Amino acid sequence: MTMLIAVGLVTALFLVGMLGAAAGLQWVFGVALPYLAVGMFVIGLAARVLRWANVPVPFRIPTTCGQQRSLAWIRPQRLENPPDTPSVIGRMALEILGFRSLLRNTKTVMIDGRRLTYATDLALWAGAIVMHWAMLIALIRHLRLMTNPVPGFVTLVERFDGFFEVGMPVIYLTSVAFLGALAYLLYRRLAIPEVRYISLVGDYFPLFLLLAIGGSGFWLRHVTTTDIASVKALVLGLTHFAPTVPASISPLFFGHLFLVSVLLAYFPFSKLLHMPGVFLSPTRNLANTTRISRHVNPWDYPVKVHTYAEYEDELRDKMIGAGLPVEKD
Amino acid sequence: MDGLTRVLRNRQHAIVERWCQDALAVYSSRAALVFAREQDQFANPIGHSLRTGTRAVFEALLDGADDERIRRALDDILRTRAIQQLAPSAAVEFLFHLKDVIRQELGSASNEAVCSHDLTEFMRRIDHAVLMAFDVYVAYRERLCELRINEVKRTIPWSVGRRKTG
Amino acid sequence: MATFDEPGYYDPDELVQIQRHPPVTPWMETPVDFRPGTFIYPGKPKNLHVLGLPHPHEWAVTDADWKLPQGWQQIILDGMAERLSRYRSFQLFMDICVRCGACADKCHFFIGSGDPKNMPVLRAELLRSIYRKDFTALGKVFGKLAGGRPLTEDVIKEWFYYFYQCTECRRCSVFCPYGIDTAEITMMGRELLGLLGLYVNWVIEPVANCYRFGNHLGIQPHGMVDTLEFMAGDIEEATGITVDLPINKKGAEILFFTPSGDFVADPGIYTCMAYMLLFHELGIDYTWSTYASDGGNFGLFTSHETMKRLNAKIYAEAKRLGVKWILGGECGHMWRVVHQYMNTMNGPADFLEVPTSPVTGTVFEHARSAKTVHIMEFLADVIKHGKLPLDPARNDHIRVTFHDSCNPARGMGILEEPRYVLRNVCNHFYEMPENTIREQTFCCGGGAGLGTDENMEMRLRGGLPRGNAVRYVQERYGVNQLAAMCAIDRATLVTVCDYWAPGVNVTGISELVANATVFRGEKRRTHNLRLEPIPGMADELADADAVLETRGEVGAHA
Repeated sequence: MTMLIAVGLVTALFLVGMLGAAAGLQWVFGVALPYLAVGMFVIGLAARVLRWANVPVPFRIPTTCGQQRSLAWIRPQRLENPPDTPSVIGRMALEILGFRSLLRNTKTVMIDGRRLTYATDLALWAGAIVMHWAMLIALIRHLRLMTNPVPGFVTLVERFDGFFEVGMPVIYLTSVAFLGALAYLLYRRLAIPEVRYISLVGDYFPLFLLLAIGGSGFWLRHVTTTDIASVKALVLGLTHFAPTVPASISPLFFGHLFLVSVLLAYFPFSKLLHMPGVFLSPTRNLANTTRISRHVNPWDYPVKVHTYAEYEDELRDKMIGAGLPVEKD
Repeated sequence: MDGLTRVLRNRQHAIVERWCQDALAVYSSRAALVFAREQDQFANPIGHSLRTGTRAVFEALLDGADDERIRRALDDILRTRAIQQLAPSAAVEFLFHLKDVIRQELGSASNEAVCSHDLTEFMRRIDHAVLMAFDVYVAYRERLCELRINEVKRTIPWSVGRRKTG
Repeated sequence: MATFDEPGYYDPDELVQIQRHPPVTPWMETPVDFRPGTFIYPGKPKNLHVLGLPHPHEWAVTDADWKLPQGWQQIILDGMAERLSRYRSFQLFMDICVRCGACADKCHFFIGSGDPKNMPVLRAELLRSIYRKDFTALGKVFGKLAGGRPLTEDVIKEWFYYFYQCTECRRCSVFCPYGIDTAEITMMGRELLGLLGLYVNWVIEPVANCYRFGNHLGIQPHGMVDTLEFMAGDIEEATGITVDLPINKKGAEILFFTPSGDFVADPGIYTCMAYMLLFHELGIDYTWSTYASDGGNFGLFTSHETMKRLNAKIYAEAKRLGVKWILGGECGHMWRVVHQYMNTMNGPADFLEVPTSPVTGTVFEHARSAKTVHIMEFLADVIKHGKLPLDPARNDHIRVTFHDSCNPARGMGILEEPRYVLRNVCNHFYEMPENTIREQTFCCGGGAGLGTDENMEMRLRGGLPRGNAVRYVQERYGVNQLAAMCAIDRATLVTVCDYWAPGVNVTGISELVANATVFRGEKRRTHNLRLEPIPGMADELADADAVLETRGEVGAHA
């Protein structure tokens, strides 16, 4: 049910974009809404990140996943239990670029109750990392539409991405990988019972949205090709704040663009916030140094404690009786 | 009995597989599917004990094993069930389901006159195993109470206990 | 006809027929089933009065009406708002979960019970659904469609059931791609329940005791003296050695503190005796304190403020007694507090000196600010320098495995020190499977204030994964002893082992060290600290003499 709502929403949005543009609202879907979406994205994201950043980190609570630095002759596992800032940067880099924690899903497998082997459950890690990296590369490729002249690294990325030179125009490796990984993540969400049980509309919606964006993009490039020069003119106009809407762009493109706009606008209000959020996670981005240097809680306040004097006042006779020293006789 | 035993032994794998799936049904379907899927003995002890336990019980029944062996085979499954959110009846019910599984596996063969006498005998063994499962279940519930009492005893201040005895 | 090995043999239709899965309701519509044996009794009002906590009242878990205070919804929402603005962890963990399910099967309570709400992600969703409804734009507009739900009394009951069904062990946090830590969520959930006067007595009574008498058990100063004297008596009986009992001694070099559970309960008492023996042997100038007589801090399981209130006595007492630094015994959650909170909450401890071992001269640089050292760090250093004459053969009848306690493993990272010590005092040490130890260790099922007897059934569910791994090494290597450096483990794993792996005893590491140490002036050691006969000791007397002669050169396998 939750999934159907998400499918319905994405389909409806796509049709709105396409039919709207076909009905002559190109300025709305090609200029006004993209500007609005980018605005919502930038302001919403900045507001959210600032809000997080303004919430203090009262205590230093890293989750330690390896040996601490203690005695000189015991080797610390710096990337699992960082004892200083460079190690924290290393740990975060592994986490953000390599999805380290997901890779931890190791398993001991008993075969026929006899042989013990170790295996790693790579599926979730692989699906996630392929999807995210492919999305990043696809984004870089799209810089071609936003820049003139096209920077060298964009061309370079394209060259590697189209390495296999299959199809005309060349089918990019990442387009296939992106859609494949998304399909796997969706399959997983539906097929694994506990994941399906916990899934909300907010989990299916971004998946279908990305699938639709990737799918429509693929379609635009390989099936019903649109006038790429006009698209570039439109996008360049947007990025240079001199918007124009060339007439020869197909409605399909506006469907694609509208979904991207929806994604941008939706981003700051959704679970997609995990992208900036992972950088700020206090169990990952803090060094395990609480005993080496004092971490200060900015909102620390005095609390009512039971002082030694109060303790002794209540129990003095018993302490004297037991032969314990006291402060006041 | 030999004829039936041979038939059942030939289909042992299928019977046990189905029976195990069925025994998982007492858990919420989400958990049941996890227990069924995850193969790791340590990440999924419940699924593991069900898989090995159902197989051991079935083999013991085929062999016409003594009570002790059947009890041992039942031990792990009931040890787990004794501390889970299950009514006592639900904890031992899975053994009755073995009857359904066998009837379905044998299909029409189970109605044949030659087979039916032996089958009745085999079903009687299952009934007996249910009684033993009940014993094992109750023994573990008693163990649970005993552990609770032991724990309270252990936390009575040690020096107080000492004063009494010496 | 197909044979049973062929896949085609299984007729999918028939397989479907036999499924008897009960119908599943969405989690928001599944109420809590309070079955005796699975929940802990409510906190008594008198304990809340001692601590001055709000809304003390009599109530029962199984009552329909929990007698929540007037305007309780507003109290909860205000409490959430306050915590969202104070803890980045809480705010962030409410926002960024993607429900990928990586944590789902990592919780010992889920593995042992199969209850979907014991999946860490769903435990957090219990709070997150309220957060969405009342604190996010989408939730305010779309409500349930955006994953929100209204705050009702049933939600409070559900929180109570499931937040006291989490041991704050942080295992899920290891596997989460964003490090979302259910311990943080549970701590916030419990703080919110506390605002309504809802606590469990097994936590709040020890807290009240600890506040007033310095330890969770409410042992008064004369009782503590008695206890330690009894232990000294047993030490003398086992070893022939008379140990000192420095209590509240001003000017001692080191303040020693340990969880009070080790004063009263078997087998923790043997670990406590071991400390006294080892300090005696090493000639350490230390003191116990009756005011700071508990390193354990159930405040961690109550609220951050309570944790600070209980923890304050440690540095205060160190200052009053004029010690140079602090040594902490074997405990789990105590070390989470000491390592990650104490310095921030009640520091700076600038009146103390950087800890330096009086035995080896080693400067504990890693504790230079908090001035508090773990007994295993201390002993590992002593053994490394060959300062403790050891005869591990005295533990030869023991085949030991090591249980990493959750907090020292995932909230500190003390993994190698205890192993080094164990390997030097036991000849037979076997690890449990690798996905059940170190940072992936499974909880005993009784941490975070769950280790009482009325919820025994739940604890044994939570203890199943650990018990199962213990049984594996028991069957495979003949392991008969489980070492753990945590007082809660020493209390609760006894029960877990008795149920899941009968025949495996539980011990502290220091106890094994003391049993393997060849003490100066000891009598013929025929009995260990438990006053049980040591197998084969009579024959090995000659070997022990030989070890005495080479004192100082044994024990340190580099």
